[in-house]
Amino acid sequence: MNWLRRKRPLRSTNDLIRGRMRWLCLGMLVVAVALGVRLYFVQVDNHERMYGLACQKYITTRVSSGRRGEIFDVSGNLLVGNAPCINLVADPSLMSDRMRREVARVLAPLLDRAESYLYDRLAPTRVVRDEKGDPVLNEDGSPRTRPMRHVILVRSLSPEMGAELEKVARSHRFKGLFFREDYVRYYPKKRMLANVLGLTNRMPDDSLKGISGIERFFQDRLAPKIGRERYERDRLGRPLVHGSYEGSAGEDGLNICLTIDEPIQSILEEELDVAYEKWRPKAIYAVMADPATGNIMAIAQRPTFDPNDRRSIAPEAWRLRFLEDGLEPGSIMKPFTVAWAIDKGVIRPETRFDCEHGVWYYLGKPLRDTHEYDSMSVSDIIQTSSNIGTAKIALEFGADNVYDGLKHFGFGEYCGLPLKPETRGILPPVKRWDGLSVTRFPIGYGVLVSPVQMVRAYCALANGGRLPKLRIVDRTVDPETGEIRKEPQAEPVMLFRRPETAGEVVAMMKRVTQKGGTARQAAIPGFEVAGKTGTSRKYVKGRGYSTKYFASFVGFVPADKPAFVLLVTTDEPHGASYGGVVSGPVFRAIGERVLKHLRIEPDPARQAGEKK
Amino acid sequence: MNIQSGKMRTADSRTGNRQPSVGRRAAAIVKLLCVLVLAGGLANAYIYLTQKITETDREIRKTQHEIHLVDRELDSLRVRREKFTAWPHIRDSIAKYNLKLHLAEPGQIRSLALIPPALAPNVSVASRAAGQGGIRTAARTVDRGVRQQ
Repeated sequence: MNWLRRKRPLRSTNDLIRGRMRWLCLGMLVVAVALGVRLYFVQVDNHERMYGLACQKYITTRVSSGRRGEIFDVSGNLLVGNAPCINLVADPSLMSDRMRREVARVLAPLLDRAESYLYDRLAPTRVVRDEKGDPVLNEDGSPRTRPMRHVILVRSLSPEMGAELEKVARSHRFKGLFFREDYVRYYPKKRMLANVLGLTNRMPDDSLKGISGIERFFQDRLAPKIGRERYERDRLGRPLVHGSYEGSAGEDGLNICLTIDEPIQSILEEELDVAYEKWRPKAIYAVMADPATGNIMAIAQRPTFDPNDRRSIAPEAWRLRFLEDGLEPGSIMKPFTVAWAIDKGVIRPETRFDCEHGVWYYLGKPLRDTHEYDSMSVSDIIQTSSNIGTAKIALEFGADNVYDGLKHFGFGEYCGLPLKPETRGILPPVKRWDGLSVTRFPIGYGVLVSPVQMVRAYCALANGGRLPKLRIVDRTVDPETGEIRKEPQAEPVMLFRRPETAGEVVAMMKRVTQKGGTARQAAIPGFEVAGKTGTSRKYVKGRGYSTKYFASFVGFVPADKPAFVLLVTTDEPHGASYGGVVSGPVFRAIGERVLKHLRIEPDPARQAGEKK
Repeated sequence: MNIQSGKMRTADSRTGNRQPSVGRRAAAIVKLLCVLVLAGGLANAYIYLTQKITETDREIRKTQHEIHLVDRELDSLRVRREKFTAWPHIRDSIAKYNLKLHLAEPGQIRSLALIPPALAPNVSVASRAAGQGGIRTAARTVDRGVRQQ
């Protein structure tokens, strides 16, 4: 029993402490190892899942969009802008039925909406419908519904109205109503240039898409860039100062500056309104261009519409008549065949033709003049607008040459303006001409020409024979950087071989607005106006030529150094039908005011002569 | 006889646990305190700067929001200005107030370039004479197509 008596060895206090410390260290080591293992599983093994969970909680993505680009005139006057507005949005899931009724009751008179309409809009669920619009049913036959968390009650409220509603909502302690800032496309000049500027529609993703005019053609440039910002956020959703941030905010779309000059456009539209009221036509349109550059200075049509009020948009007002519509231009077509024949040396301005006393039968078909003319020079033929004389010039010139000339002046070809749709008119090739075509096409019958094509062709006559490419967009401007990108301007193409051809044709056209001409009412005091009248009967399919007319006048002023080319066409005027009577005075009224605006002084000697 | 020639060593001296002197201990404490003060100072500075940055960031956001509101106000005013300077509005106002206005003759119009004093030395005399380089003049507004009465 010695072992029972054996005493445990005596241990000092230090030994005891050392022992405990060893145990403590061992324990800590075990804990550390356990933590390390756990850390490994959390940080290494489960890293992706854990990081994903953390990201969901702290990292957010904000999608933002800039503003759609604006449209200006050549001097920077705003034509289409973005007006700030407020959208009233509701989350019905945050409202009790009692509150929904209360919201509808309070807001209905302020929003000018029926209370029942607002209450229905605030329904917390909505029936799911299929593509045909029929309700989708559950297995038990009840209609399938989906919860509504985002309802736009009213769009595009004015900021003042939005502030007032917000005050009302706060005073009634409405929950689930939100006032979202937005922008609405706004046309401060109302009807001005409406057809050219075009319209936008709001797409399901809340973006704007151009559906006509410049808005449609330049959708890519005008549309803002969508930005995605991904960042770490705080409890209130604000980005953390030292948090991660990637992506970029949305950018505004590019601004577009047109070649249109707003004051000139105002003058043109105002005079068109006067003529529209006076002659009560089906339509009237005018196009003004700078012959040297091809820049469209003003362009308008009646009827038109106010783009701020979609209810005013009628189908006949919607179309771009000056671009889409082809018309048989009548006598305004005559100078082109004559000019081409002079340039080829086939005729001279003083070459005489027998005008058959007003009626000439060719291939058994009669061709008439408005007056009984005898023998006349080419210059007189243009001044008096003789159909017979022009037809005889064309016959002498030959069908191939007539076609060649008209083709060179751009008929039957697109003008290339950034607007759609555009007609290229009808100018059939010579092989499809019948025997009469050579006598009818040069006087503006049997061919279809758009008003814009006609203006371009007259620009060539006004510009010494150089045919310009028409432009309506001058430049695009980046609103962020201020960078300006000029739209390319093509060099005009010289059409004539003889440099004096243009001058000779212009001299003939000057006589049109002088004594003995067909458009004395288009003459502008103190200035020489070169131009041509056109009166063409409208062709009705199946019934031939009707008693309805296109009355046109196209000219340029000052004749020897033109500031502009202007075409005025009246479709079915009432009370008169001649181009010189109906459209000539409109040309004069517009021309007088535009010349003053452009500060082009009249010739004093000419003014004195006119007074005498 | 067991004769030891060396010094007698105590347990403390064997283990090297010699008691430091008071001076050494004080120096160590001072060093420790310095390190603690430095660390505390750095931590404080870090907290202070972080707080300042957060406050500044908050101010920036507030100012940005104010700028955004002012921008919207400006947009609204710009659109209204364009509406009021459009010719149809001017024409209606002329008719409303029965103003006897007529379009100026080209010889009656002179351009006056308004050059801000700071920019004046940079604008050449020639361009000043030609009426360029300045801001848009009142003449432009007046002659924007007033219909002859």
